[in-house]
Amino acid sequence: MNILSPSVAAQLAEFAYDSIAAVSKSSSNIEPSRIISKHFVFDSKKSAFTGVSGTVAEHVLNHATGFGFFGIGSKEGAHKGEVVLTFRGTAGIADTLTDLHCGLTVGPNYKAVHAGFNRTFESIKPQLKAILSKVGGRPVHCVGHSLGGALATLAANWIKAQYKVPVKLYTFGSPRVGHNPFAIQSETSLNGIYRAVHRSDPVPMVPVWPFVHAGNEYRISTCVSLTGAAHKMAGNAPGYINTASLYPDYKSMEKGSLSNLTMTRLKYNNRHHASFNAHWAEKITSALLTLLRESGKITSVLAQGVVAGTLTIYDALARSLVEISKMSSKYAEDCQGLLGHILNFVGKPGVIAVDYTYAQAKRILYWMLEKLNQVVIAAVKVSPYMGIGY
Amino acid sequence: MFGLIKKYSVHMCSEVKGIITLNGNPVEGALINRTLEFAHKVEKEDQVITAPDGSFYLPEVVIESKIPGDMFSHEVTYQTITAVYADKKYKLWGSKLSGISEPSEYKQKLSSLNADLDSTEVNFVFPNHENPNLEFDGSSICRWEHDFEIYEIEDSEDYFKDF
Repeated sequence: MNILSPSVAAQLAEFAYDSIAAVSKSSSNIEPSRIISKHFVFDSKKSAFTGVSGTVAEHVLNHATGFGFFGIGSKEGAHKGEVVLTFRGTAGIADTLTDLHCGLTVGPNYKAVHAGFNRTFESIKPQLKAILSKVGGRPVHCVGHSLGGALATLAANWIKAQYKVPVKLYTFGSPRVGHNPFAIQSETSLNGIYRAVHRSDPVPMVPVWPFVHAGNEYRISTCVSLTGAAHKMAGNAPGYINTASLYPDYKSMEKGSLSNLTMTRLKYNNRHHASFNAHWAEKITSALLTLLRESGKITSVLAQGVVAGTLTIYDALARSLVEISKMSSKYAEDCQGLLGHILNFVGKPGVIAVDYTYAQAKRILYWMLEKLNQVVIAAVKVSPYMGIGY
Repeated sequence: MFGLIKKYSVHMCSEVKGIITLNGNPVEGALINRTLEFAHKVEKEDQVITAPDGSFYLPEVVIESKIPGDMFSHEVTYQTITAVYADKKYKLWGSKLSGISEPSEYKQKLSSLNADLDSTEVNFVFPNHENPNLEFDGSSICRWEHDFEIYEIEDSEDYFKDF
């Protein structure tokens, strides 16, 4: 099973959007680009599958639309006999992503995952079942952009668990799908995870911790200032299709560090260095995790998340920070440093974090969540056609 | 801020000029139909009839839209131009334009959309000068002299017979 080249993977992720027309206009032919056709064959009648996304109402009404394609490796290409599944993203995804009360549900590998993503995946699953029951033991590539990346992640794990075939996963600008146990299970069971991001794309930063990514991050554009446009497949700002085409293979891309394993300590005096970008978002999360791990609080904080949503976790987190800072003067310094950096990160350098209470710590953490979510929803909120969606 | 929602100029299709012939003779009265769809939401359609010398013209299409302000928009225009003559439909242009600005390569192709209705429809690629790693794709019965490579995927196997 060969790894898809970044260009083929990106084009496949983009091609998945053609399934909208392929399903709604039965007359339209599907025309994959030459670079895709070299390796995979699609059938305009049989390749498309549908899904339901968005609000509960849409699920109730069963508003199914084209959600992607499955293709078969041609005998002339580099992926002979292999299968590819490609999933599209969707408009109006922001609310799902930034829903701080978002719950968890049992995912395809029996680990907790984001309930919203899983609901859309469940609407596609019966069709995947029908396809996969006929492809035998062939290796599968799962590909997707944005929400499609989350769906590809769920599909890859489900296929691995059900069919025990080799599965590789390729995503572009994918949000986080589950908590740590899901990520670890994905990493150990899948036969390769190729998670490409633009560092300036805010979507891979949500939903916020304790949601985490599986697999290494391949950074195909390294500018750190967060902008919504950096999430797009098409266009030049910088556009995933564009940036992916610049690399002959995944090996030549810059790999991001696994920030949740590094030790980070932030000194209060240096707090003014922090500003709102991808670099500091990572540093702050890492410092938070370092504190929680060292003080032994991480288990109790995470336990909250199993039964409740993100907000409850951050409430518990605020309480823990106050408790941790009372344990020793060293911890007190670390907590202060962390909160000081968050205040600068969210653009409130004037607020002083000394001798903070639970209520203050909570307010500071909420500001951080809000600020992160803002980048993701800002554009959609003012966009009048949102809600029409698919 | 709500009064100031930014609109973007979205280029959906270049100016189209061409001549329709049949076995080398100009075709008068063929119906040229252009369908454009941007971001799966905005649809534009226009038509024109070929002149006695077989020529036709369609203007550039640019719209003002708020869609590009949405980071979850899929900024692609599906472009289809067909000719209908003697109850038969021919594809003059089928391509997926990525982004919201006009690439000179598209402009060049569409300014000479010359077709002989006797030609077969082919898939082709043309070079992207800004990013040579990323070729442009299209399908058409037209032929161009430069920057035009026809490709065929020869494969008689029915991969989908079991599905």
